[in-house]
Amino acid sequence: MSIIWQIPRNCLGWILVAQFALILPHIERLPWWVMAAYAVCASWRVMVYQGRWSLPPKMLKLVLAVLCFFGIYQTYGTMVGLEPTVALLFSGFCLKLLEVVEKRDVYVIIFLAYFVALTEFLFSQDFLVSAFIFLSILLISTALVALHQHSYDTLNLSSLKKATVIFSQALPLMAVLFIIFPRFDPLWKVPLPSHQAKTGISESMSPGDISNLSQSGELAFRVVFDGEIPARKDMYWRGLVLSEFDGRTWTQAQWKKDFLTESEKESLLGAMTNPLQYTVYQEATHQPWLFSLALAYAGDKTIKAVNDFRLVRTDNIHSRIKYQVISDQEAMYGQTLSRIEKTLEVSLPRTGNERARKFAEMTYSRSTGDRDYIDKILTKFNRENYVYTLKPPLLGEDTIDEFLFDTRRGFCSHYASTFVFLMRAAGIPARVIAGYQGGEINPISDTVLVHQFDAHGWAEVWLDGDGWVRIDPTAAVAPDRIEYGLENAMAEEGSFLSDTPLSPLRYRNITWLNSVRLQMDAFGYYWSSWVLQYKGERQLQVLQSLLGEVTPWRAAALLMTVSSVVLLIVFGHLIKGRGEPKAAVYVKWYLRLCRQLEAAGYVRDASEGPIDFARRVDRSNPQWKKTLLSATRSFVRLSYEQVSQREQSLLVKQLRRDVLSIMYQLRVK
Amino acid sequence: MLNAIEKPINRRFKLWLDRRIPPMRKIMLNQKRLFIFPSKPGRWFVAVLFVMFLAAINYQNNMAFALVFLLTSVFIIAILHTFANLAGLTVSAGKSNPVFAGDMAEFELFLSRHGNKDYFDINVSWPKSELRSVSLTSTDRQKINLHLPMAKRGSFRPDRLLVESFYPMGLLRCWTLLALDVVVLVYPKPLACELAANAGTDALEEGELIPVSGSDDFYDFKQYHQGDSPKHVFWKGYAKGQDLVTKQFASYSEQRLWLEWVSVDGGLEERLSKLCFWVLKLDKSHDEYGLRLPGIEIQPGHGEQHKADVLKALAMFQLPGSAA
Repeated sequence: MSIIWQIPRNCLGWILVAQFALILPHIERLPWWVMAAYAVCASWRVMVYQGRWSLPPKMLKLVLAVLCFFGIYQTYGTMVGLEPTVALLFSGFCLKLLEVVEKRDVYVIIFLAYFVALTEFLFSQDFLVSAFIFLSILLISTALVALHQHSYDTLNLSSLKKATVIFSQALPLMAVLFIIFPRFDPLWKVPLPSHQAKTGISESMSPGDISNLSQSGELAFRVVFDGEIPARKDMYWRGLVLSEFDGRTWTQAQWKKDFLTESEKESLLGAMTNPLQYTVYQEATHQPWLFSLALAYAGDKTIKAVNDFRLVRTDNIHSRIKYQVISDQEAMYGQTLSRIEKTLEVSLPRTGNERARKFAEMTYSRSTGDRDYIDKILTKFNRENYVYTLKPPLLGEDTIDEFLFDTRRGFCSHYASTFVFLMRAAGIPARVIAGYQGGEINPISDTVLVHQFDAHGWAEVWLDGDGWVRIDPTAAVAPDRIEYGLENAMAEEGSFLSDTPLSPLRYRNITWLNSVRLQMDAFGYYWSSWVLQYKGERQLQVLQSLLGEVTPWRAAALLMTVSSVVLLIVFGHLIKGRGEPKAAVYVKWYLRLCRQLEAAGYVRDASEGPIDFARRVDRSNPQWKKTLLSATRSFVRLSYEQVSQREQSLLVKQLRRDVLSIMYQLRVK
Repeated sequence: MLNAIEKPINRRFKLWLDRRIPPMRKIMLNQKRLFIFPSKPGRWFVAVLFVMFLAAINYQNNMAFALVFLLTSVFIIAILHTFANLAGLTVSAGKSNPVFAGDMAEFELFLSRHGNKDYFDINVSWPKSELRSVSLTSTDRQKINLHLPMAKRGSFRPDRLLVESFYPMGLLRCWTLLALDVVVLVYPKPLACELAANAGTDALEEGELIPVSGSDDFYDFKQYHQGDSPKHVFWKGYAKGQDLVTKQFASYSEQRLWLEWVSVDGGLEERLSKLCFWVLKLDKSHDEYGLRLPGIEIQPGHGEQHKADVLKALAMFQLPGSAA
């Protein structure tokens, strides 16, 4: 039979729905023309199905394929990597839509769709995103079911229902597999999302840099303290140490890239007297910087300690990571400073910012010492007409001079930069620290949330005998920023998150909205720590509580038990009402009689009625005449006549008695 | 080489199948009779799952793991659903009319369900027949007509009937091979020919002639008498200058024509084909005819039943299983 196979309308409809659902989470990442291509291909396909258009010619499809390749290469500059691969998969999706001729092609599209769904998890595993992706997987499976329901000719919800039933039955099995399956180490290195914009603190700091970050309500990282959460004003999350200045921008010094050796790292731990343990869950930044309180130690092998007492990861962070840190805020660090270090930490550009240099020399000469000088500078910021603002005026060539003497309006970067300049100008080793300050405590999960708007810049000054000392000039101008956070500090100006009017963080003063936000955040945290980070130690703990002792045999036994229970229940449910209905009692008795007679040589013809049969048997065996005929009559009455309940039970009894008596006679014979 | 292994295996499989699913007129599908195995797309699905699994490991992505585990579980659950889509169905054979060799025989089959659960996309076919796909959603019973080409005369019993289903996910194939107790009688292919001159002579002698006007069979000419129907006047002869005569029609109360082995020539099959042709011809002209083959004699007769008997004798002649 050479009837041309047609993709069922029901199936095509569900494929289009599923593809649309798959594209949604990628909208931000995919180039716009992939969306456009999808829209065109999908509408073309619909037109083909309605019989208005025909499928595009081979040549056109080839041209489209080449265009897609070219477009992806243009957008990403390469064909390898995660983003180009995803874009390629989506282009394949679009083009395959115009090529579905056989049933096999539909399978290709659907399996491709499953794979695309998986790639979405590499970008985000947040609860809402994950839930949505699983919904699209359900839709893909619906299309697969619809492919095998040729009897429907429009989009039919029964396909979705069937897929949902299968999914819900699969859930318990999936849960057990998820819980017991061991998480291996990666087998080989794979491309990570690398074509993403870097987020968070950047490697350098110019005036105004950090104020950009202040407009973002995104979570930078979350901290869970083992003990009590320190006061907000004490939480200075060091990320980068900036020691080189070119008159405008602070950058990391080249020589600062030296990592501590393992033994030096261990000695840090020994120096701590009041250790503070906490875990940081850091979001992807696509940069290697980690954030920790002063004097930090991390045992993780993928984390290095730098000689300026901060932590750096060996690779860029492309997905949410978790690391444990031990810190001691009171411990001294950098007690001794080598000559070279000292020289470098006081170096300034040869020229520029002359007014500031003179001011520094003058003030320092009038001071009794380093500490007095520092106080004098901080007092200047505090007493004089300096303003802490998210909207500082633009600065020209001599940034320090202009800010210090003319504009006097700036954000933390202005104050930190100026303060360090003044220190160095007076010969005191100093440097700028970029990181985050403070954080919001979510009382539900008892964790500290550090948002991008908590980004901050401050200074560290080296004092003989004290080592590196943290000084935050912003605190002198706007103590509210340190005590209560940016929102309070900017209350008058009204510039807090003014670029993102929809951010729920802006509405923290609306109680119920804020509690919803905190609930969702806490849920996100538990989701991340219990589901997304379910591996290693945590998995072992859960398995131990489930199995007692963790052995492969016990795990297999758990899997077998759950799956056999689930499968049995599902099977019973499925098979119910599919077999032949049970015969009534009297039919069973009559059939038994027939079987007995058959064994004795009396076979009932297919066309012979029961009464005729009984008569025929009687002719050769008159001794049964009464019983056989009576049994047959009871059977016939029960089958074809309307009898009352009481009569029915009497008849059945009579039938049974007769049958048993005939069987007895047959035996005796 | 492969053939040498395959043949005994196939034979063994057939024997095993005969024991497991013996031929019946009406068969209900149950655990004993249904087989299930991943289909070709299903095997591809497993391959895709494996690639996804590697991705999950390499990216250490728990949601990707969850996805792989979900699809694995779906695959396992789908086994039950695929099985259920055939379980409890009853396949029964309807009638099948005799055909001539070289024609297509039509077989009538029925698929019926007992409960009210839906069955989708059930494919029914014989190795050489077309494939029919049926669903039982609104009806409890579906008639399926399958056609098979008949090459040889005799009684034809089709191979095992394949009943398969891929519903709901297409990842698994549930199937059964049923030996339905259906037989179709295949008559020899009719072959036009002349009967040998001596054929049926004794039949003519024995026959008692009763001329009956109004009958269709030409018997003789007689001199034209006034009053004869102009329809029966032999105008052709008159035109050639012969005497005017009237055609006389008659029928025999007992015209016995014997179709005999020796009335036709050729090999066994050829002779049977030729006899078959004559049976059809004589049946059409309402003649009585009998059949004499080595070892078989069917007394002359006429009518549908007689024709069927004679054709059956021709169909089954000298074939195993035709002892009766």
